[in-house]
Amino acid sequence: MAEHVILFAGPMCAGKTTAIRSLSEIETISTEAANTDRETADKDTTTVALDYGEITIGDEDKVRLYGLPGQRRFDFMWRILMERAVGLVLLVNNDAADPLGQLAEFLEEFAELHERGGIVVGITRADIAEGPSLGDYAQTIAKSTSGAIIPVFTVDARDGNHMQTCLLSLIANIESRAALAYQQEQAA
Amino acid sequence: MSDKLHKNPVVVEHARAALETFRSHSKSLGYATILTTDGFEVASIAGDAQQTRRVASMASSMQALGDAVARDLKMGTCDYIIIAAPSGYVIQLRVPGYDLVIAAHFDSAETLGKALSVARLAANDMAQVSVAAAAA
Amino acid sequence: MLAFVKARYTVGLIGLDIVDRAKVNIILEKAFADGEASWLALYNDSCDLIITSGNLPVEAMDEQIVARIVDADCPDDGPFLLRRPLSHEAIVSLLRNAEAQLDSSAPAPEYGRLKVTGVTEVQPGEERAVEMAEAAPAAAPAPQMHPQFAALGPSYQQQIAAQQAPRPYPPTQAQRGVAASANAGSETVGESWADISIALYSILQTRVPTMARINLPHAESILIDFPGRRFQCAGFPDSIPLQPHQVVLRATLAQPGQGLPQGQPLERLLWFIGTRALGAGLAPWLCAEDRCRLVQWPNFTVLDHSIDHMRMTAAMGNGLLTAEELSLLSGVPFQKAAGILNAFSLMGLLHIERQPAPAPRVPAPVAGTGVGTRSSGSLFGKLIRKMGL
Repeated sequence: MAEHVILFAGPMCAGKTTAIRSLSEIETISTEAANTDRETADKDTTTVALDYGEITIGDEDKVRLYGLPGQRRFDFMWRILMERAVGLVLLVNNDAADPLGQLAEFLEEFAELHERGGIVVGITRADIAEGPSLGDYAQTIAKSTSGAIIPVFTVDARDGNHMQTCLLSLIANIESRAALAYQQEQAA
Repeated sequence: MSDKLHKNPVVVEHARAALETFRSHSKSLGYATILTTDGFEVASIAGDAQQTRRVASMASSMQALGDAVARDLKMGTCDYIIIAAPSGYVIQLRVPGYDLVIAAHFDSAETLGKALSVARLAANDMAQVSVAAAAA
Repeated sequence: MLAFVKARYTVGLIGLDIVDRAKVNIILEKAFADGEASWLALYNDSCDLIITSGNLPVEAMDEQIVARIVDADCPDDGPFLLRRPLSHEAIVSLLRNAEAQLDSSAPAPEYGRLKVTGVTEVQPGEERAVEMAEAAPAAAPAPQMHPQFAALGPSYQQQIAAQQAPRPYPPTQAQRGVAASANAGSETVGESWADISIALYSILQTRVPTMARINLPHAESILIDFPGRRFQCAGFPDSIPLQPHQVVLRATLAQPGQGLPQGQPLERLLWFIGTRALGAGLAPWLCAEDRCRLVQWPNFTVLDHSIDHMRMTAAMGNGLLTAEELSLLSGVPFQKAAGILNAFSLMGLLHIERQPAPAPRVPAPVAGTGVGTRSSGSLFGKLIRKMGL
């Protein structure tokens, strides 16, 4: 059976755990602990290891969905899970204090995954809070990735259709890049 | 009561004292950390600051993964986790009644049973802290 | 039809008779093709340079230059006078003089690569007709394989190099000249969506703060707030006919506080017009040989899109493609590829290159890695089947 590991990353409160719940066809596995850092995020619990969900396709393929903790002190989990990953859904909360800065920070952190796989960016809470525009996010992406065209959408992490759109765009983009790279090899 | 335990001076002081007692009970204790379940270091003995912060984060993740496995197998909550390696053990266990975890590294001179026993004592010692009094 | 790319300045042809206008058009086209001038021709007065008839009163702002076409025996003189019969040299000289003057003056607001120096002050409700284009829209290419594809040469390397060429950012927009315009303070009447799409495109390109209303017979009006990037239309999109017998677009300069307080994202309307309402071919401002690349993905979560749209978008994010190449690469009918290019160009999401390209070659779908077909062994194909899409 082939496995396809997709990561969900982003700062605290971006909606990673919820996004995986929206997509997974199994009951998701969560590793939440009481949140003692209310200054950073006012919520009761926070993911400290990973969230896990999956989509099984026939007998051959399994898409494994891993949510990463948002806080940098858990970046060892980012490294561990990034090794097996082919793609990243990066979620950023539009009403955070500096969402563009957070986006740039995470893009830098996961640059390797962008190089060998792909990234899609989902902006959550865009309908609730006035924040940067999608164009602003696209500019930040372009600056952080030397002009790469990474899909960026406004999303509601609770909406399965939105998250499907993110996942499919990510896979389509990864496979399109792979096809082009293959053509380049053939042409070389 | 779990807010900012790692910043509460009474909790931090009590944790330091509990760890010192812990060390006095086991010569083979390498280093030990008391951490919040969401990965903030409260107090540590031995180890450099960067290492103990990192161990705190990893122990938090381990504890949560242990909980997740126990929950999935309908075993209840995960009381402790043991990592055994050729040159020693890491034991981590919850502090009863608090969102705190104690993680300790022993060298291979210690038996696993003794290490677990003294770690439990330390956890119970830490559980005696009165957060309410500290907050007041 | 004028077809300009990479224009630095705009020239407005106002009140010219049909002979003068045709001559100016032809000369401008040739001057551009020869690299002698880089001017975008419009049919409004919101331009850097206005060319008008000698006896027509034109109100211009300080930054604007007004040139007049006069008879040969006119006693007047000056750097911005064109005498009949119009000559190539005279018009190129005029453009040079205008460039020199514009370059020496304070920089005007720049939007993308198109310079806009001002707009006509129009009171709300005060609208006037604008000349319609006399040129027919570019004919849509036939939805079949281009003959060039039958003899693919070894020049694929060149195309790969073109695809890897550094992309400018902020993204340049397709800046092809248009044959009609309906900037602020104007009305455009058409018999199809294609007729008014040019006016819409012009407004979007110049980004003059504009409010607009689209009236359709027996259908809800569409109110558009261009600065706010939103629109209002009851029952959209079901209430909007795809083939109306008349479409009227009225545009006025946006007044402070006039913006729509709420509404749907404008991109949703532009997507609808581009993918569904413009017909089977490319929009009039796009040419079949244009190579297009995406500069930003559309916000698919607010658009009524299909899996084919997503696959085409992925292809366009990674390659510089013509509509026909996109169609072949994605395995979709030409009209669908044209539709998405129309929509993306309206939405300002395209980088367009017109170049003497190497013989185009479409990367074939790669088994196991490509996104070529629904039935491919790709994860994408498997996922959409799994999701029932």
